Amino acid sequence: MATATCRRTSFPVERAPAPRRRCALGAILALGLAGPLSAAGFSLSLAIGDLELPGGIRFHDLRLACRSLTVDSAGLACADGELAVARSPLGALRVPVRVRQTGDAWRLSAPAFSFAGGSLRFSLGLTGGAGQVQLALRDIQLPRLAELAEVLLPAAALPAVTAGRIDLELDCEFAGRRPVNCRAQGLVDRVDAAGSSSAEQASVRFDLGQRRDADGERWRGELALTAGTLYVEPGLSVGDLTPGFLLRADGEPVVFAFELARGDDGRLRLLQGRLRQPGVADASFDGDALLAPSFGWGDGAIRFSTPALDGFYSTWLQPLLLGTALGDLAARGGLDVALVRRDDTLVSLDVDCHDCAFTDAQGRYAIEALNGGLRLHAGADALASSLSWGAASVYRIALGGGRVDWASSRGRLAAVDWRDVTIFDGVLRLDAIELVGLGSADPQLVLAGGIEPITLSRLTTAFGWPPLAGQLSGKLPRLTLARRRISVDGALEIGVFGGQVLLRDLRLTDFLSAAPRLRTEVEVRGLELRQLSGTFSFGRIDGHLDGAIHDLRLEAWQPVAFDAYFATPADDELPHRISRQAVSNLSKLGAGTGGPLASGWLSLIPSYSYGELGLGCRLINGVCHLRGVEALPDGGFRMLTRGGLLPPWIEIRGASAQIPWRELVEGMGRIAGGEVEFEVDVGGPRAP
Amino acid sequence: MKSRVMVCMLACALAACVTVNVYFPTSAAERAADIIVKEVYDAGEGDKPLSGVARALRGALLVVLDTLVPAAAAQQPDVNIATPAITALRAAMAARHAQLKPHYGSGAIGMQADGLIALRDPKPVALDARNLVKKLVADENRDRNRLYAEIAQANGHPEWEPDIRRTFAAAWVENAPGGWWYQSGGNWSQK
Repeated sequence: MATATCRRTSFPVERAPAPRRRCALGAILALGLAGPLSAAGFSLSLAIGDLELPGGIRFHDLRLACRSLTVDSAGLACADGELAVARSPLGALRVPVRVRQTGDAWRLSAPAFSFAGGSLRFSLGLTGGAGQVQLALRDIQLPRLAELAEVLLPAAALPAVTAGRIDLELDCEFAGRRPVNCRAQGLVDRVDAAGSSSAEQASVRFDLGQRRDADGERWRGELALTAGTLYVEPGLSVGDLTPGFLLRADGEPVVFAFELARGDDGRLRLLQGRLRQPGVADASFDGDALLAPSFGWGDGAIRFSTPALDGFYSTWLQPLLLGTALGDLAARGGLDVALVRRDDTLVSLDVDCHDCAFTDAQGRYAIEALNGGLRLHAGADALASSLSWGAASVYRIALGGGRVDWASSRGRLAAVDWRDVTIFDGVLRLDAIELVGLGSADPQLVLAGGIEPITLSRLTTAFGWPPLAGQLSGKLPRLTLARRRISVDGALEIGVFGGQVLLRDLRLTDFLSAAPRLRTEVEVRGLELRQLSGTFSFGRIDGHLDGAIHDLRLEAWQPVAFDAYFATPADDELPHRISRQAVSNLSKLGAGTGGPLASGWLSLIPSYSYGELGLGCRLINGVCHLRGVEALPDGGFRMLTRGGLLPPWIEIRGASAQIPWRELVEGMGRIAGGEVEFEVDVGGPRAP
Repeated sequence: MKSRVMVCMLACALAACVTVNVYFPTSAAERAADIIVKEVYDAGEGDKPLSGVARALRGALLVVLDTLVPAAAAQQPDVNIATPAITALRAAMAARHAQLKPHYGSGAIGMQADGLIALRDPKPVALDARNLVKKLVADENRDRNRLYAEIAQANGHPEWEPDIRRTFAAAWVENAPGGWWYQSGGNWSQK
């Protein structure tokens, strides 16, 4: 209800009432038009000092004049009135008005008059408690209208509009103060606006309708971006992110149609949505999704289809995925997706890829030539689908093509048939594949199978490590890949250096972050030292090696803690021989006896017998605390004992050495590369 | 006998009352934060070309500094900031900074009081670069959150994370060049 603050009001009409200081606008009009007026040809003028409308909109020095006020049996009419406002948020106004009153029906209209750089025409009708407003704007300059918006909505973070114009036709029916049936059509043309949402030379044609019924309000609309660029932040929140979408009209318009419902409780719901972005996407939603006060999918069916996944990803998916492992992809191909939810549960999901490819910009993973799809549903009957790919990679692990046939029932998706995948020159054999919790907040891929021999040098070279000889094979009892973690239940068995390495309780977290964490227990059985020492150019050692690494923890693929010990197994049947080079390197490793070999007669012997080899390292705070087969009274340790069948025999003692891990690794790297013999500068007393 | 029992009881009572407080090492944490913040801010700066005389002077100065200030003392802030995870996060942030820097300068990005950054004014950012900047901000904040937690963890006191965050928040502003925006008392100010 408008209110007026009257400083001066004067009515040069007969029986004009005395001026009043403060009064409502409605009261003034009623006051001015009251009385036994029964003849035609009166004139009327009404002056209001200040008028303040809801929202703090102030009009100063309003004057309403009617030079020919006629009154007849039907009612009252003013055909040539004028409303003048000296100061307003839109500047000075001079509005021609016509007034007609018939019974309880009033009609106030204004033919086109100059307004905000263009023209405005309006008509207001009131009958009892009902009303109708018709408004026509032509070529209105948006920057000037934006000034009014700033006054109307001072708290809103409105974009700064620097250019543009608008044409608008509005027709609205009211019941009391509530709009019950409205339609607005028009064009916002060549707009430049800067803010959270922004525009560059954007033209948007709009057609909006509103209707009120017993359940609340329904809004239908269609927006078409016909030229320019828009960056739209619709106010969604995804974690700490407020996604924004960049839309361009390249030749053909981008069209968005929708139907919304707003209840009297303030809840805003999306009932239908349709997006047509030529060459990029055709998407629709039918259902009931809550938009405000908070977002919730509720029930509904979503379908989208894109012939160009690159444009679709960068426009619609990437803004929602920023900061995640999926937030920086190069995507290609075509994609069709249909999803149905009911009662907060996924009823069905159909995904069809047409030669899709995804490549992580940070090189962490990639998949090529993805074809076919996934079909998931909550029903009891098995639903079949098939997905194939041409090649894939995870970090530097190259995987070949593959195919998985799926069956889905009761919300689960399980592989029923598949083709094994090549991994380097070996094979990743799959015994079981299952997707669990798809559509939930924590979907998981569960695999079981094994790795058939990979040439180890190919794997290590791919990771930029020193090339290792031998082969790698293993079993994957149950590998679970979830959003931020990979876990292996049971023991991951790897065959390497003629022996077996078992990884137990393997947990890899934050695996696509800058600093992944890995934690596991390692058991080593029967490694052939000849293969191992040959690989590292350490010098030849014959015999087997058993051992374990307890509580191995890696951060950013670097070890930060473990307690490792490797030793000759008690029942080793291989001869125990060690080369002079290996003795030299081993003794330097333990800061023990290395000198005699360089100068004494022993330096002439190419290899020696030994009894037992044992070396351990406990890594704490970047320092490796070494230990050997047995501790010595002087605080040192014995890492190689006398023994074996053929002389000469040798033993190596180590001091109680503590070696910085970084130096140890650098030295190992130089030895493996064949650059130098292993040298470590360690503290502590040297054994005699 | 009675007095011995009393002494034992008193000793036990005193022992039971002993509380070991480990205070947050403010100065050491500030030095640690300064090292990391300067490392990130200096990333990608590149050495400006120096004249022959300037190069000679700088060389002499470095020799003097090396002699007077042991390297260990200069680089070790008594708070462990050199675990593999922290090193990886430092490297990631340093690599990202070159892309963020122009947006600090334009006022698009500001430093928040919680040690994170925010897109405070998108207007200087071209429309087709808006999402890239949002991505950079999201990635940076993810790494900063992890960094603060890792430093607390690496030093054996996960409960120090809020203090470390606060220390870093001050260091990001303190070491920033003039003209960059920061949050203070809920409002944005320009340094």
